[in-house]
Amino acid sequence: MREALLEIKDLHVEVEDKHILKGLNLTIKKGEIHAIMGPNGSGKSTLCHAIMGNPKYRITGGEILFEGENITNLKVNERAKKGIFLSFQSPEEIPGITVDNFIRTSSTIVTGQNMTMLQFAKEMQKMLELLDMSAEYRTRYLNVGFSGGEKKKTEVLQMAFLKPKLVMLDEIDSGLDIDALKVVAETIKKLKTEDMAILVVTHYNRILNYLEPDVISVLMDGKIVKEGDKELARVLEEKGYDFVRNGA
Amino acid sequence: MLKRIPWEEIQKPAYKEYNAVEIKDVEQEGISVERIDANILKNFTTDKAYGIDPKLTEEVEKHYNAGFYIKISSGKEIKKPVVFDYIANLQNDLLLDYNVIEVEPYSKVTVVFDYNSGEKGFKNGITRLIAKEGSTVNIVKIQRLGDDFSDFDNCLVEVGEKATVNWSNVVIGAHISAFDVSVYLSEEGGSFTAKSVFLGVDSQKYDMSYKVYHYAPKTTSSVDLKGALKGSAKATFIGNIDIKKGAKKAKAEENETVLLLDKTVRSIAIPALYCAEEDVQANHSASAGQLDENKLYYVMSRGFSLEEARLLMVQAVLNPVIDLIPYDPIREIILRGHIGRRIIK
Repeated sequence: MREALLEIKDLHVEVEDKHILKGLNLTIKKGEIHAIMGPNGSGKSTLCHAIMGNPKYRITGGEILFEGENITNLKVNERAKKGIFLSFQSPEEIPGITVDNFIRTSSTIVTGQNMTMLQFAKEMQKMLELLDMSAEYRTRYLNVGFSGGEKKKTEVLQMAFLKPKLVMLDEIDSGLDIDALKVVAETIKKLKTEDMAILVVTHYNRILNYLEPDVISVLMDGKIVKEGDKELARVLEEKGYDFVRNGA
Repeated sequence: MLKRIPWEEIQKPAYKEYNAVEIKDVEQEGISVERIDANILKNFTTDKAYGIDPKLTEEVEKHYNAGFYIKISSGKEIKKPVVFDYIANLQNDLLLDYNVIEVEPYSKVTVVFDYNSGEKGFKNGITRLIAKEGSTVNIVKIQRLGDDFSDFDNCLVEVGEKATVNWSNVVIGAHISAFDVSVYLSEEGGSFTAKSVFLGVDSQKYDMSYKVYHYAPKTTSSVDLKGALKGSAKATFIGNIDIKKGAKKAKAEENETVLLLDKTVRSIAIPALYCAEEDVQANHSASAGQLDENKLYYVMSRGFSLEEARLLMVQAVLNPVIDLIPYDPIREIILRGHIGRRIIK
């Protein structure tokens, strides 16, 4: 039995005075690929942002433990340094800061290791090839003028350099065509170490066919209402969320 | 006298000589550089209005103690940027520079003026640019003087037929700093583009103005000023677009964006559009805002502390212009030194 990486106990979260998560419990073990599925508005993205520490998502009850440590009150950047990474559903554009500059600086901050120019360039080249991106991206301003798919690939590029312990993929599949989805999923699989856990938030089965989650949790109305394996995703795809709602 | 400038706060050393300018890459074919003098200046009298205040232009006209006449021969492309490094120090704390740049037809040149260093002092200058038919001229003016400097820069730009002038002011130094760039588009097809940035911290006071006069048909102008203010810094931006009768199909735009890093800063934008011709396109906009919280959160999720994230966001505003500085050493100093030091204390 692998040890827990992330434990969420009775978590209540409010966004702009709206109660979104209502006593959510969830455990993610080291090395596990864990998918969270649920209808629109059920609180999937809220869960990701609450784990990352977005101050707009106010935790009104419960706690978040990471490697046994209570991180509920830690700042966003402190959580990042502990090894939590969120691939954003809509990554922000940062005009004026190049992809190279941003990734190099953030990887130095997060990993505490200062790569030489040459090491960085080599690693970057390798990653760009994996992600089927041209070297031209390195000098472009972060996410500015990128297509939806390019933004998602750039999130994975950042993940590669930050070497997180917990990766949250918040609808990584939106904005990606079939080919790009395959490239992204395969890159993530290559980057996954034995201990790295991945939390996949999605509406669809497509990405799960590539990532093959060990556990699937269904989030509805602010709580995890069902847990299962790959088979559960298939049933959900076939019968819809009503199947869970109706207490099957 | 211009009321926006806090004249009572300005201290001026007694009149003295200035001898601390260094010129780089002037030995290229097609350039001639001479020290400015009355003989040269008598060929460049003008009745065009320009400058921050007549008192300031008059002072330079009468008492200049530095400056050059830079002439680019016809049809020459000057490959490397020519850099005038006006250094301030204890001995050279009064700089009254008078520069005239005359670019003959179909030439291309980039000239950088870097006013830097020193602690306390006074700088007041005139820069005249005459860009003749079909020429392309890039001017970069960097002001990174010491914290107790007063700085004034009065510029007159005359754009010839189908000539292109690209202009950048980078304002990050001095306690009080003001510039005026008055641009005359008097010949058909002339074009002026300004991309400028400023960073004001503590109690710095900036006053920046661009006045663009469109006299001729098919002239175009674009002024884009971006900046950030922190502490109790104050910035005023005047942007005048004046399209005269007969400037048919002129195009003008103007934009100011200011990032307000503290509630105690003050930012005033006074854009004005005068238009005596109907067949034109003119737009102006000004916006001032706080840091975008979503962007800050995104950046912090990649490990940056709040302070580091704020610095990054300021760089994000300033970089697109600083990246245009054609001279690497200065760009590096500004990016790594000046900006970082002023945001993170």
